[in-house]
Amino acid sequence: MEGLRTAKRLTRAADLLLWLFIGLVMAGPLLGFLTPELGPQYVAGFGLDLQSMQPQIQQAFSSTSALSGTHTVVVGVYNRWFFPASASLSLELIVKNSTVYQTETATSDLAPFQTGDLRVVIAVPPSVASQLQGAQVTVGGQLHLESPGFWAVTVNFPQR
Amino acid sequence: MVLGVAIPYLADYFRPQVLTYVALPPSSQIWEVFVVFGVLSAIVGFLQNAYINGQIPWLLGKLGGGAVSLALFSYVFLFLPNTLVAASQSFQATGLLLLAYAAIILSYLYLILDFMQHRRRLKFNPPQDNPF
Repeated sequence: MEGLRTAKRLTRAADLLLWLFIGLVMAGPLLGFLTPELGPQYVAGFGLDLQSMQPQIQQAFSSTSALSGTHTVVVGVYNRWFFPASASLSLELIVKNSTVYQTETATSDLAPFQTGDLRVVIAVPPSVASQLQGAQVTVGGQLHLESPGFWAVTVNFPQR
Repeated sequence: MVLGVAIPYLADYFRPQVLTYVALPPSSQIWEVFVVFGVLSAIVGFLQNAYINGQIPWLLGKLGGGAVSLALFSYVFLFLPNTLVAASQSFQATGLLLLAYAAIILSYLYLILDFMQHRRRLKFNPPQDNPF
């Protein structure tokens, strides 16, 4: 009877620890998504500063002549959580629903409680720049977030 | 029974709004499936309430309840098309899912150990019949 009671206690303890661990793993991306709303000093979890991307892209695509140079879009990545994480981002220029240019994929691997940058280099060849003249250009891309061994999510934007 | 009636009724009532986001199967199929789930839930609920911990039907009720919940969630999540999670193209949670399965197995192991403990207790102190 005593052995059964001990086995019960051990099983319950292991189960609670496992659920706690699952909660910790899941809380990383959730906090990374929610806490930036509270202000920069409260940021926790794993995520990207996507808001900083928009003005940089707008600047790069402010005029067709600006396109022909090389632009680097820098997106901050933070991993203020207990597990290693990885983020990668590539951007693409879409005209009439087809991709005319795609950047190399920028990747950032972060150890626990480390921050970094994703540096996406936009270097549009002159032949592509001429295609973009006067056309309605949509900026899309692919974002990949991963906590190795636990979860991975890939988001394509805009959805086509 | 609430489960078997309320959910299909709500699915029918909010069908136009839900269809904006999720592709639903025909209304008759939802009713059939949820009535079956409702009946199964009623059976396992009865087994858990009519018997006490330590008796085999109680354990069957508990294990059956888990199986019904698992089947229900699997069915509900089959509704979810890719469009529901915005632009997300793929989500993989293999490691996390394995951890969740391990935790569920441990929960059931605890349930079985608890059952064995109560069963031994019942062997030495059988329940008294209520004369009233």
